[in-house]
Order: sequence, then C-alpha cells, then structure tokens
Amino acid sequence: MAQQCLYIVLLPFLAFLVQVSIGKKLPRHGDFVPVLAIFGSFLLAMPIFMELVSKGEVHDTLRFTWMSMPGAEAAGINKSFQIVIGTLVNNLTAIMLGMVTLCAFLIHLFSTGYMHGEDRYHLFFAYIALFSAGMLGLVVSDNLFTFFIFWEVMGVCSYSLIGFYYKKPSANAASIKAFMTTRIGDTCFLLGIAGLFYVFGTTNFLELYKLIPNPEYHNVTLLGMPAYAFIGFMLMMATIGKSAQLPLHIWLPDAMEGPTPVSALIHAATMVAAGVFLLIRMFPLLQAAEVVLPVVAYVGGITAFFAATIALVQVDIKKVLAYSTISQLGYMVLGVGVGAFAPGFMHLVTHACFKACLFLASGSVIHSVHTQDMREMGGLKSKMPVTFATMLIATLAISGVPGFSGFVSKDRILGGVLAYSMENPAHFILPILGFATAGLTAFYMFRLMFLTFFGHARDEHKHHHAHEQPLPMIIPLIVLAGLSFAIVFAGPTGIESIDHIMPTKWFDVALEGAQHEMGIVEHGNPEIHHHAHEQALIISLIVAFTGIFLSAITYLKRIINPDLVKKLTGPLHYILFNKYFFDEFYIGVLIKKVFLSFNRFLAAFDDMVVDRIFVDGWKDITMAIKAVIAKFDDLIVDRVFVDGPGHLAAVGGWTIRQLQTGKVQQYLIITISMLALALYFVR
Amino acid sequence: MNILDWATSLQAYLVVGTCLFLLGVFAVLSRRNTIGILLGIELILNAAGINFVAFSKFRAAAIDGQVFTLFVILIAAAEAAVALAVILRFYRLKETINADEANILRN
Amino acid sequence: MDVDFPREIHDAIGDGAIMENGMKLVLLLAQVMTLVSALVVVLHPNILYATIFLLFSFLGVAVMFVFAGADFLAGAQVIVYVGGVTILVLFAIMLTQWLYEAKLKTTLMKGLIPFIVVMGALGPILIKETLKLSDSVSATPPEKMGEFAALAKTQLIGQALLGNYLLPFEAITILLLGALVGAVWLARPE
Repeated sequence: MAQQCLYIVLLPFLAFLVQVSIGKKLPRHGDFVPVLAIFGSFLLAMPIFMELVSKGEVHDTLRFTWMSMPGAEAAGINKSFQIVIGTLVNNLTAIMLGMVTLCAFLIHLFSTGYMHGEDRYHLFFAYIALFSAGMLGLVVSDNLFTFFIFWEVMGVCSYSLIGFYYKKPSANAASIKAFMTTRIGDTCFLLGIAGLFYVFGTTNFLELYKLIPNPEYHNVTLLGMPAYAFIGFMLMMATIGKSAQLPLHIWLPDAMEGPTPVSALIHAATMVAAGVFLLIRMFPLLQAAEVVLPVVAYVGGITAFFAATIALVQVDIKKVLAYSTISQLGYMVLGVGVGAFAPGFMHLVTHACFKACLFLASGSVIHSVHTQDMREMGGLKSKMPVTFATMLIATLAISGVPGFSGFVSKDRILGGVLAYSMENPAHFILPILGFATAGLTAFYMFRLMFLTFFGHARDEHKHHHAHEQPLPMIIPLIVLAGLSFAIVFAGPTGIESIDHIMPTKWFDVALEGAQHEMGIVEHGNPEIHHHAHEQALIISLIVAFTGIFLSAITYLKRIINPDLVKKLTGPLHYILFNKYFFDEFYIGVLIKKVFLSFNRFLAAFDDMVVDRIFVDGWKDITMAIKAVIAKFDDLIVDRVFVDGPGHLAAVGGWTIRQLQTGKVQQYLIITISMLALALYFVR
Repeated sequence: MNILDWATSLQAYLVVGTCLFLLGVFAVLSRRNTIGILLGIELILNAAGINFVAFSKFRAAAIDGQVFTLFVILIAAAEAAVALAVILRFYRLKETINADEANILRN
Repeated sequence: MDVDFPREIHDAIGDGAIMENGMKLVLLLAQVMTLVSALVVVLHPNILYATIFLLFSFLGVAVMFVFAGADFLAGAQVIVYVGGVTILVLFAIMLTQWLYEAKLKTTLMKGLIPFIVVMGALGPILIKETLKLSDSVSATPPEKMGEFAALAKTQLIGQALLGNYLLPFEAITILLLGALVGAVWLARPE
C-alpha cells in the first residue's frame, strides 16, 4: 500500500512533465493527460480508502535512507546525521487520499469546461497537476522533510496559479502578496523542523509519536525556550501562514484573482487545509507543549469570528467564499486548539467537499454571467437549476443544518469548545466566538444565495445571457453536493441521539484508531463532555436557524431593508467592508511607519550618538595627545629612525620592484621554477 | 613486456597523466591568449583526474577516487564558467585578451 | 585472460586473444591521441584549432576512464567537458571575435623560458618520480581488481555522494551555484 502511494504521487507529476513539455501540441492542448492521471491516482487511492472503511484501520510504511553522513558524530552533532524518508499510510492518510484525489479529479474535470479557450490552457493544467502531486506527496509523507518540500511545491503552484492571468496587474500583485505572506509562516516552519531534528534526531511521524511522551526530552531548551513550546509555536506559525489565519490571512482573499477552479482546489479544499493537517499530524507535540494549544485555540476562534464578520458585507461572490474559507479554517484550528482533534479533522474533510462545491458553483455562475459582483446577479434560480440546487445543498451544509455534513463536524467542534470552557471557565470567550460565527456563517451564506439566485434580475442583459453549464462542469457539482450530506460521514441526521437507527461510523472508528496511534489521551470528564455536546447541539441549531431566518427576512422578503441597516451602522459597515483595514495597517503603519521610522531612528542614533560622541569625542582627545607626540615624533623618531631605514628600504624596494611586472605568467614561471628546485632538494 | 600490455598498466596511466600535466603547465606559462591559459588549466585538471582514477583501480580498488574525479570535473566546469566571464569582462575593458596586457598590478 | 577489463568490455569482446589485443590497442591509441591532441592544444597558434583539439584530448581521457572501470566518469567527462566546457570556450572565442583578424600567436621568445623551465627543470624530475612511484606501488591483487571491475559503479558513486561524501557534495552544489551566479554577474551587460 505504501508503495502504491508513490504511484499516486508520481502520476500527476508525470502529467505535469508531459504538459509543460509537449502539452501545447497535443489535441485539446493535452487537458486529458492530467485528468486521466489524477483519475488514475483516484483509482489507486480507492482500495486504500475502501480498506479503511471496511476494516476500520490501515497501516503500512515504506522507508529508505535519502542521505547519511557517518562522520557526523565526530563533527559535534550529537546524533548521526541521517535523513530517512518514505511514505506512511495510516487512517488519516487514507481519508486525506480519498478526499484529495476525488476533489482534485472533479476540479480537473470542471476546469476542462471552465478554462476552455483560455490563453495558456495547457500550462494551467500543468500547474494544477503539479499542485495535485504536491498535495498528495504531502499527504503520504511520513516525515517533515518531504512534508516541507511538498508544502513548498504547493506554494509555488499557488503562486503561479494566482498570477495565472498575468496580464492583470492585480493578479500579479496578489500572487506576489500570497507568496511573500506565506513565506513568513514557511520560514518559521523550517525553524520548527530544524528544532525538531535537533531535539529528536528524526522527523518521522511514527518515531516522533513514540519519542514525544518520553520525559527526558521535556527539559530540553532551544533559544531559551522549552523546546516543545518553541517547536509548537513555530509549527503554529506555519499553519497561520498556510491556512490564512489572523494575522497572516490577508493573502487568501486576494488569491481569488486566480481562476475559480484554482480557488476551489487550492484556496479552499486542499492547500489551505494542509496547515490544519500539519497541526493534526503533530498534535501529540502540541499537546505535550501545553502552552501552545490555548494560543492555537484563540487564533482559530478570533480568526473564525473576524473573517465571518467581514464576509457579511462583501459584494464579490468569491470574496464572500474566501472569507468564509478563512472562517471555517479558523473553526478547524479552534477545534484542534481545544483538543477536539477528531472533529477538527472531520471538519477539514467535510469542509473540503462542500467548499469545493460552493466554489465550483460560484465558478459556474461567474462563467455564465461574466461578473463576480453579486449586485449584478439575482434571479438565476430558473436559469441555472442544477447549479442552484447543488449550491443550496452545500450552503445548507456550511450553515450547519442537520442532515448535512457541515452540521456534524461543526457541532462536534462546538461541543468540544463548550466542554473545554466548562472545564476551564477562564476561556469562556471561545464558545461565544464559536457560536456567534455559526450564526454569522448561516446569515452571510444565505445572503449570498438570496442575492445570487432569488429575487428579480438586477442586470437584465447579464441575466438574459445566463445559461446552464455543459456536463463536465455539472457532474463535479453533483458529486460534491452528494458528499455534503451527513450520511457520508456519520448517521443520516448527524444528531447522535437520533442516529441509532442507521449508524454510519467509519469516520469515528478511523479517527479513534488514529488517536490511539498518536498516543493521545483524552482527559476530561466524560459527563461534562456529554452534557456540553447536548447543549452545543441545541445552541448551534438555534443560532443557525436564526441566521437563516434573519437572512431570509432581510434579503428575500425585504422586510428589513439592508440599505437602512447599512446606513444605521455606517462606521461599522465601513470598517467591515474594508476588512478591518488589515492591508492598510500592514502597508501604512507596519511598513511605512514602524519599519521606516525605526530605520530613521537608527540612522539618527548613528549620526548623533555614535558619530558625534564616540567618533568625534575620541577625535578631540586624541588630537590633544597627538600635538604633544607630534613634536617628539618629528624631531627624533622621524629623522633618525624612520627616514634612515626608509631610505634603505626604498633602495631595496626599487630593486625588487623591477621583478613586479604585473604579468601573471612571469610570476608563475618563477613559482614553478622554485617548485622544481624544491623537488630536487626534497628527493 | 610488450607495449600493448604496458598500455593497460598503472605506469601507463601515470605517465600519460604526468605528460598531460606538463603540457598543461607549458600552455599556462607560454600562451599569450587568456583562453589558451584556460585550456592549459583544463589539461592540468584532467591530468589530476586520470591519476585519481588510475589509483582508484590499481591501488585501492574502491570508488573514492572516482568520486573525487567527479568533484574535479564539477569544479573544472565552475572554474571554466567564471574564467570565461572574467575573460569577457577583461575583453570589454581592454579590447584584447592578451594576458600580458593584464598588468595593472605592476611595480 | 591476464588483464581485467571492466565487465561491459569483457562481455563485449569475449575471450579471444585477437579481440583482447585489439581492445588494448584501442586504449593505447586513446593514450596517444590524448597526448598528441594536448600537444596541438599547447602549440597551435590559432586558438580555435587548439580548442577543437582539446575536445579530442578530453575524448581520449574519457576512453582511458572506461578502461579504468570508471564508465560513469567517462560519461560525465564527455557531457561536462565536451558538451559543456568546450562549447563555452568556443562561445567565448566567438564573443571576442578579434581572433580572426589578429591572431595572438605565442612568440618564440615568450615560449623559450617556459620551455626551459618545463623541459629542463620540472619535466625530468616529475617523470622520474612517476616511474619510481609506479614501480614501488604494490598493485592490488588481481582477484580484488576483478571484483571491483564487476561492481555497478554508478550505484556506488550515488551511494557515496549521499553517504560518506555528503558534505563535500553539498559544498560543491553551493560552489557551483555561487560560480554560476558570479559568472552571470561578471559577464552582465554594462
């Protein structure tokens, strides 16, 4: 099985090579090559996934030494330098493989319709094939080195694909912004890996799971910090960068400049989830570090809430989805942070399916009306029935309506958060953020639905031209919508107390196995947990339906006039519409004010203190001493001691200078003659 | 020992290497053309490679000599790239690549 | 047969004495070609011809590598030197195209002192020492050499590069990168 993983990764990579080399000359610009390759990966991944579903557990590894340096002990490195890489198939891998290959295949298929006739069509497929190879490689990696390599491969692909419409200046700027912003996180990631390798001498996940509980490592320090906390925070920074958490979230909304399938695959379903996946893979370490997890929880909770508030007022359909992605990623991070690691992972998978569906449906809408502004849409329900139906299902899922997948995972995360705050009452703000976000999510997602599909057409011309999409674009929508039902992951409704009738438990069984493998111990009172989950269920249902209801009376029935609300909350709307001024803050304050003024301060310090006092001050003192010495120097030292040998040296120097011709070959001739002479004497 | 057998002996390899080295040194010393000097250096590096390979086979029967030769080849490539860049630069500066013209360091 | 050829050559020629002598002749010719071409490199007044003959000299060395069981190196030699360095030199010659107009001939006077130094001082002692060395070195027993000849060298080199020689290998990569960036920077247009 572990060997099979190599082929799963290699297939899309080969497709990439084919596409960049001869793609343009193939019929249809070679789009079938990546589609078939990723379908092959999907077929190869399915047996692994099905084995997990049927047996409840898979486990296989493949390892080989990449490089080793036997002399490393002598060089003062405490462990022998050896990098062993390989693939790891366990429960998490199998679920991710199934999810990624399926999403990637569907989105490849969708792209054949969406990107049809675009400039550089073949390169688009080359990039997403390489991206798929990167993501699959990351998933099957059994160590952080290859994990990091594939992590960066995805970063590069993301960069090229955001800037795919390279003639648009905004797309170029967005691609550079995305690349530079994630770089902060990636640098921290590299530091974290270095720390990990220094402390444990390995980055293999399975070995780490065994080593982390060992108390002898707990006292190691790195840069004055406990090693576990240092590594944990560095890995958290990596997640913040890649999964677009506050305060490095600014790149993801701009990344929507890329083609919509890219937004669906990279900036919603897979790559941004890789950050969360990293946290889940390294969860034992975060748990052992203790101080890290609460910080992670707060980052996630605050991100979820703030991104949701921004999404309330955006008018660009893709921007709404982008902020909703940030918000949902915040949920996952929050879940991991409060120790609800299994629900966090579940939300990762369910979110990937329904968010991909949402993005593809929005792509379908954009493709048919040629605008991203929701104010110019409306009334598309009858024109695009399939798109509408699938998007509605995905919206119900993300809003947390029972019977849909999003409800199951989100409800479990919220239950975990509530239980956490019941045990630690100081963290009472976390569940408030979580439930508020759930309500906001339902509100803005239905706002999107109502503005796009209901009401009257606000732009008759565009409405008139709208049409349903061809089959390659419809099939992915239907499949992904099908995966948005709760029954795929848990019982038919997702409410545990009802689902005894028809249980589907494969996900829970798989996650329990994963937890056991990682050596995670559930501490906490099961009584409280049970209680918290029941309460969370009720509250989340209430807030979700409140959100939907408010949205409906505002945007569907128009009982509340949204423009009036906008006027009443003028300044708040202004702040939200401008996304809390994060970009302006970074450029205007952080870069222009802080860094520049710090530079100026340093320059002034250099000028005033270093130059005036130290340099010039010394000058004054030495000048005084100099005056005395000068006399002595002039009369005795100069005349007698200096000039005398000086003349001698000048005469000698003139003689030797004649040898200095500046011609390198003459020097070499002398050198080699001397060498030959030396050889004669030595032998 | 006939000359054909001699050709496969260690001595043959070493003699060829030494002669190549001497020719290289002579080129480096006598060529007025900077590129000619570079060619001489390449001959010297090749002579070193021959010696490594010869001892790798006849003395050590191990791979290490070959690895070193690989390093020599790589360094020669890097050296050629830099040297040619320097020559181009020199040509732009002086409109010639005569080694004797590169004498700003004189006296 | 008394001389151990690398496995590939051995397989190709079988055990016939004529073929074996033929292969030895090939080696001898390669050695002669190496030296004669090098002589042309050193002496030919036109740098273009010198460069072309450098190529033949490199090819001769590559053949010698094959006979010393270094088939991978022979390949690297052909690719890097013949395909890379020589072409690079030819480009440099063409970029400094004054050559066709005024040939920078090595004058007799300039060659005289180097000739004396090399032939009179360095040459004799080096040749003498080389002969002494090759007589004094105790060769490896033939069976061990045969064992070595039968090994898959490319695999061994790969393992050595990522094992014992990892650090030099990484250093070389950085050196190459630095050299190439430096070369580009040096040769940049004003």
